[in-house]
Amino acid sequence: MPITKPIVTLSQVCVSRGNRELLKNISGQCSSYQMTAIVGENGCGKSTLLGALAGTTFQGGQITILNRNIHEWSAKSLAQHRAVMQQQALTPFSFLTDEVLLLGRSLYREPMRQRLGWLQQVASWLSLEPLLGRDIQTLSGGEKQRIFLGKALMQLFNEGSLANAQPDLDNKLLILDEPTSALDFRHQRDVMQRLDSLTRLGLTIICVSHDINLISPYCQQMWILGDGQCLAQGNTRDVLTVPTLSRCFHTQVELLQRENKPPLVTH
Amino acid sequence: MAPSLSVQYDQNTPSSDRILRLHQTRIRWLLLSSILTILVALMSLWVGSYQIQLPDVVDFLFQPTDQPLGHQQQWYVLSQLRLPRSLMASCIGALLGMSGCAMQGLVRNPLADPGLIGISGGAAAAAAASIAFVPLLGASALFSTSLAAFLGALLSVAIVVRMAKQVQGLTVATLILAGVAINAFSGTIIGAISYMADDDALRQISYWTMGSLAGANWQQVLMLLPCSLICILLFWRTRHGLNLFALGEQDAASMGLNVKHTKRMILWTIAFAVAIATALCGIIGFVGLVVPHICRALIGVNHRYLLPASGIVGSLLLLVSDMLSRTLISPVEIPIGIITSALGAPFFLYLLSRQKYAYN
Repeated sequence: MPITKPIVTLSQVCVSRGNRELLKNISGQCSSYQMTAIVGENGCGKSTLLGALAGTTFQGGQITILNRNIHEWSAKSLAQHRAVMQQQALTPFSFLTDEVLLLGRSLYREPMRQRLGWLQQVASWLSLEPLLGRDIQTLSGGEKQRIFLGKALMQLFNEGSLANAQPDLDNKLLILDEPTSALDFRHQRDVMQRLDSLTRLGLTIICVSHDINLISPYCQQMWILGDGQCLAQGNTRDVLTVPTLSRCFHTQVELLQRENKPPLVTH
Repeated sequence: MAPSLSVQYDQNTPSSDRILRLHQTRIRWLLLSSILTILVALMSLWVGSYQIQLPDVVDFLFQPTDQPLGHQQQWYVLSQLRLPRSLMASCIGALLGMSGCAMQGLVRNPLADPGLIGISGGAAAAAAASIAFVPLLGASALFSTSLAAFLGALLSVAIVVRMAKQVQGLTVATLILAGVAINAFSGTIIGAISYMADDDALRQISYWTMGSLAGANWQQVLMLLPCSLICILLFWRTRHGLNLFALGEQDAASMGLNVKHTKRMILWTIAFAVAIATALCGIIGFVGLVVPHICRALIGVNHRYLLPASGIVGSLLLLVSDMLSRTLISPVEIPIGIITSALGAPFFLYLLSRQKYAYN
């Protein structure tokens, strides 16, 4: 049984833009070997929270990553430990998909052969091989999403670790903003399973999703945000209860129990 | 139960072969185009309204300080007129090409031009003021116009940067809008000055805005060469930042790039490069727009190859334009800005027509 340790700690984080308070006193902890899902209604502050973790300024509170205040990290070493996948991918130029993926390795000084090795690894893990060699502007939204997920993943492997049998990820953080929103049914399942395999290797994943049912089988911790505040936090099984969900979503909620999986949430 | 992840890879895959092959092709392309540019530069020494035989040009190149009896005039044309002019065309072309490339990478738009942020407007307004008013003070406007253009260009960038500053740093959209405002304001100033100026000054102002390499001398070239080298090195340093910017600034920041600092550096290097070019030669349009576009089609969008390619093709374009300007209606010289616009404007329309069918 792997020993989990806290990777990210938030305490009383507040974000405001102009007069609007977008996040109020968010506190919590995300640990290694775990996926933490952040769910909630539209406009509740999920993406703002991810933004704060990704480096946007926040007005109050503290964020520590690997026991160091986020502001004390140098940009480069932080980028080697924390990869962020944004919700919207910009592709104003015709990069090749291979080039986009290789950009993820640019933080590490290593020979080209190593980079290409990691490219091949990530491509096979995320089933990206049919997309390699193509102009990224010609890909569909879902295909682009998978490439950008691959690029984020490419950021996390230490240099020289290609020779190890298993990647060393227990000091690494992957932050995802709706990584499966544009994917079809099969690819959604594939990507979530891959992310699950990565958490088994120690990776800490924080994933924003608007689809509770998609993410609940794979996340160990769940936070429900509402109106800029954290309304519920804890193990997925403890959070997915009728009273908690009804309170958070202000609506009638029904749970369909399943064997070996968290209940399905419906209304 | 998801399959476990282990690291297994083999040395050769279609993807790795493709990347390595692309790299070699691109390096080869850069070498060949450099050689072509050097050949065209040599050809520009031979071409011109004053007839010089090719063997004499070759002799001159091998012994530049040798002034053979009876051929002093020829030596003068080659060493004091054509050689500095060709060197100036190459440097200015490289500066404009790389500035255009950096500008397009900075604003994430392949149809951007360094003039977008008001540099040429500011330079032109300052130059017009100098041409109109300095002679009234009894001095020659030659040196002061170059200095005024240089300072005017930098001042307009400073104003644009000030107007576009927000908490998160310069945003691209406000940068462009501020540039539009500066260009409009400069137009007003130039209009007012043109209205008040006498015929002689008016003619000089319009000649200046057409751009010209005539009057290129060694004094200017010896100042231009180190400045160009510095600008080229500064541009080269931004190649990785430009690649990351292409995927969005938030993304670039989370990949460890100091976005604020890199943006500032790119912007001021563009400002400096275009300011020098404009101060020495007036306004030469379309090079910064068209050159990176052509290079992108030939060598791809990775700025590691695109930046040097833009510099080389920029030199090539300006050398060719200069040759055309000197020979089309020889011995009359057409201002080089007219040649680049004549080549660039139809090309720009062609690009726009192709955008209709572009995927996005």
